[in-house]
Amino acid sequence: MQDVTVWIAIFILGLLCLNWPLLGIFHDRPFAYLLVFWLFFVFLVGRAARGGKGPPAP
Amino acid sequence: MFAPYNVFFILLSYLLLLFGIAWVAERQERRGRSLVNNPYVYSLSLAVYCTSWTFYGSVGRAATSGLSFLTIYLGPTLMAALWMVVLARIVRIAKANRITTISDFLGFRYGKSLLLSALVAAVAVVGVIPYIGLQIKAIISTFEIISHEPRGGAAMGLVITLFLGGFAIIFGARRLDASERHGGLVFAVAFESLVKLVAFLLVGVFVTYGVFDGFADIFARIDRSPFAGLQSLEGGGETAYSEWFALLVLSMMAILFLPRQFQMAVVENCDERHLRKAVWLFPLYLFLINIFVLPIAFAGLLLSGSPQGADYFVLSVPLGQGMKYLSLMVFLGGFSAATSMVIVESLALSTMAMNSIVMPALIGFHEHRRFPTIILSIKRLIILAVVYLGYLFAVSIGEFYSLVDIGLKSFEAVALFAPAFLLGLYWKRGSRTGAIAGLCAGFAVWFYTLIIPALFKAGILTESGALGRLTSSGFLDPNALFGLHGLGKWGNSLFWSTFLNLTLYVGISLATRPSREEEIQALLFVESDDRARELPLGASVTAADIEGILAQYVGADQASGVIQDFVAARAVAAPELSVQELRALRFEAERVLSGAIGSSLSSIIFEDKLVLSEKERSELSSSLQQITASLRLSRQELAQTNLALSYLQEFSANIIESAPVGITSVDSSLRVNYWNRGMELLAGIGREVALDQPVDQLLPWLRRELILGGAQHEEVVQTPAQQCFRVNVSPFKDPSGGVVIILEDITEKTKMEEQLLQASKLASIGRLTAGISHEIGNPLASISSLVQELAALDDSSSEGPEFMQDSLNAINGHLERISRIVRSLGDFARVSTSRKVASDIREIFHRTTELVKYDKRFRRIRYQAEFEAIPPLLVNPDQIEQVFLNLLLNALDAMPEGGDLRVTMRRQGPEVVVQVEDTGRGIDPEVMDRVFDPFFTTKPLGKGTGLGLSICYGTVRDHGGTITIKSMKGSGTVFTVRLPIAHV
Repeated sequence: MQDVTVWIAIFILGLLCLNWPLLGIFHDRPFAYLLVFWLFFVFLVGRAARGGKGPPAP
Repeated sequence: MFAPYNVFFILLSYLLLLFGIAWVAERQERRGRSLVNNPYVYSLSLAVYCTSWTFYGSVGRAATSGLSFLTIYLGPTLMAALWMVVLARIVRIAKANRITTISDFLGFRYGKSLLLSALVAAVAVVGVIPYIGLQIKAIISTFEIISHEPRGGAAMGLVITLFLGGFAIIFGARRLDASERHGGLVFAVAFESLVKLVAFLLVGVFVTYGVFDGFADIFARIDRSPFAGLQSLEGGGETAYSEWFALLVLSMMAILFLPRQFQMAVVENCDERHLRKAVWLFPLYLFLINIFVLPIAFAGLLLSGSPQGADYFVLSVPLGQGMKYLSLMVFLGGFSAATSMVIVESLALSTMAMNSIVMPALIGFHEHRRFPTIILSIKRLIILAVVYLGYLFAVSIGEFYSLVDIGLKSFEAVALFAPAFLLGLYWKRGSRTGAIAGLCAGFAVWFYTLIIPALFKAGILTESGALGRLTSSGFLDPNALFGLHGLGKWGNSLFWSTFLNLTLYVGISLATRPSREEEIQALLFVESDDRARELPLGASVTAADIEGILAQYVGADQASGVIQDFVAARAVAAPELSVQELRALRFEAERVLSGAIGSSLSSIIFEDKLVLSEKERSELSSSLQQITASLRLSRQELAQTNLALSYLQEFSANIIESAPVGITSVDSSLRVNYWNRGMELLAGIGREVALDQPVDQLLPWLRRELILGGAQHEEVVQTPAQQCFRVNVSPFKDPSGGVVIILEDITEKTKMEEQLLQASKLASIGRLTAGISHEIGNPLASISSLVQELAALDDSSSEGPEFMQDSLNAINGHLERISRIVRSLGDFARVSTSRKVASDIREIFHRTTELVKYDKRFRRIRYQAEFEAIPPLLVNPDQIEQVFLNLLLNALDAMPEGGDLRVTMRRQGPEVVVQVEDTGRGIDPEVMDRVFDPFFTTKPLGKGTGLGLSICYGTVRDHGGTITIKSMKGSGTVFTVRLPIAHV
């Protein structure tokens, strides 16, 4: 259950950070923000996948 | 640039290479050395999502609309975070029921509905064929660009299309069972994913750093151009915001519901654990393939001055710079992006059309002798038909639309499956009627808002007709349905189709009562309750019945094989199968048939053939009620267990965190995945820094051999900073490996032990003093006497020189003896360390005996020693010497009037046994249990500290050995020391 909560929390964080109104802050130069957040999100998902319970990746 | 026939030859060569790769992968799979069964190939195969739309269309979109192209990749990135929750569940259900397509999944979920299944298949075929056309359009257009041949592209496109259809048939439809995995196909797709990524990165680097001076240069130049607005989020208008969100949602749905994604992510998944890597590898792939989209789009705009032809900037920019071979590489990258999509999509659509539309229509002819061959041929024909329809779309309507426009229409179409699919996984009340109504309404909106305007644009429909008047009315404007403005074209279609779809689905589901069949399937999907699977299996059947039914659809050979495999696995003859086994056989047969003709149809076939009796129907109803009731109870129990588990988890976490020792756990590659607070204090390294780092780099004094030592073991390790740790290593029982390491700082304890040992030595020296003073006193008295005689010696005496020489020799002998005694004492009294070294234990005992021999009491003792050959032991020589000394001095104390002292040393298995036996006064049985207690002594006050035997006990235990005592009052005492023979 805890695992599911982590995944949903990451998803919601991504959804919020990649939409308005947060995206509006970077309105004039959003490209760099989007790329940096994208990488951060991949890192976050990777960490959650490593640290999660259940069968580990082979 | 390149002659058309050269380009054509290169394309054919590439396709042959692809055939070769797929063939090798299939051969390896057959040999049991799968190239496909790993998370990297799985992740790369998911990149079939990136088609020619990604390769060419994204740049086109970026050059005309700015950053909104990114939503198509950010959506799947977000969705990947939910894969472990949603996709893992879909994979599990699909595998358990041998489901091979989305239409099958939905039909099976909603009471094995053939109508719903057929509707979903029809929507997918209509919605996705233009997307296949898009790929063929890209192949044709780029062929014309690279060969400078404005004609002939269509003919080449047809040949390539047929080749791709052939590839899909050979590697995807060689057999009827669609549920089996296609290793060759998956490996070829993974290979193509690499090709397109490398090609795109190459052209990106060339354009960004070869043509321009990097990102900053391109962005600065575009800032000074008329295209400066492209860097912002499309002017920030209301439409831009809603369209951004709409595209994000669309792409999130597309990554789950596009038929090719379902094929790759669900049907071709070999191991559910691969998802754990794919959740971050796939988004990383999307990130990499998008880094250079904006620079290439801006470069194209700056170089050409116009967004015209922006869809092919990726190819035209390097061509314009004279980069012939780079252009060819780019062309091949785009080609690989298109081909992988066409192959997988045509296979997925054909399976869908076959199982959900064609098979239900043909099922009446199943008694035909060659039925299995006929349906396999039809499936192959459908593959060819699908790619050919795509080709027709590309050469007729495709030219009126951009790549992105066509792709998004397909995204909108598959997003129609979302309400029934996703809610159907978690909501048992969802009904077949609701799903059908919602899908129909959503499809109508999709067709009206996106396809009708496209048909107008292509000139197939005229605006002067009735439909034209309808669409031009403000209320039914396809771009602002019901007068709702501000959503944008895609947002408008998505909103209204989803709104109607969802409303009808939920509303009708709540208003109607689900059938028994729907209830059973809902249990199977929502609760994953396998008991539901067995509910309709009550009819009396025999193995021959099951084989007969199966043979009609998959052929007699395969049917017979299924039965034989089943009975062979149970080592029982087919007629002797029990009722339970027959149920299992029927389920297995149904699974095999599902792979060939779809889950819904196969269930229906078995249920039609094996009709339930009235009694069985009644049993079925009561079983259903029981399961529902027990599920309710199970949920309550589960909640309670969860609560207890959470409490236990928190409790143990608190204990581990507050433990005064360092605790860390590492995986099989020695990377830290847990690091407690104690560890932070001991190592001086924070948890954030330590996590995911190799432990042997964080604690370099912790040797790899010590960590990977196999079974649980313990060792004392000294750091270069003179800290002393007791390291306990316990391997996990989990086959994936890893160990728990517990670190205890014993620096202070070791120092105290050393001090105690030193004190004990001094005490021993005190006990020896009387004997030793005598040993030193006698020669000193002799020396004194000789010196006096020498002083009184008459120089004129003739015997003088000789006497002097004799006296000096005697003095020298006495001095050497004194010197030896003092050296022995000095050696014994020196400060020892706690290091263990390989030592000869007999030599240690001998040295100890030499020291004790100076004690005058030893002269009254009959000493006897019997030593066998002993291998070197890993011991601390100083500590062991102290043990022996304490035992010998105790023996002397026990025999003040003299007696026998016998010492034996022998090897016994993995141990060395040392016995010190005296014939002294012995020990009272009442105090026997306390002799090893600290400060316990039977000697008079001032004669003993009570620490000697206690130190012996601690020292022997630290060496992994034991010390025991046997004594009889008045007869003597035997101390037995056992020390392990470690590998030195």
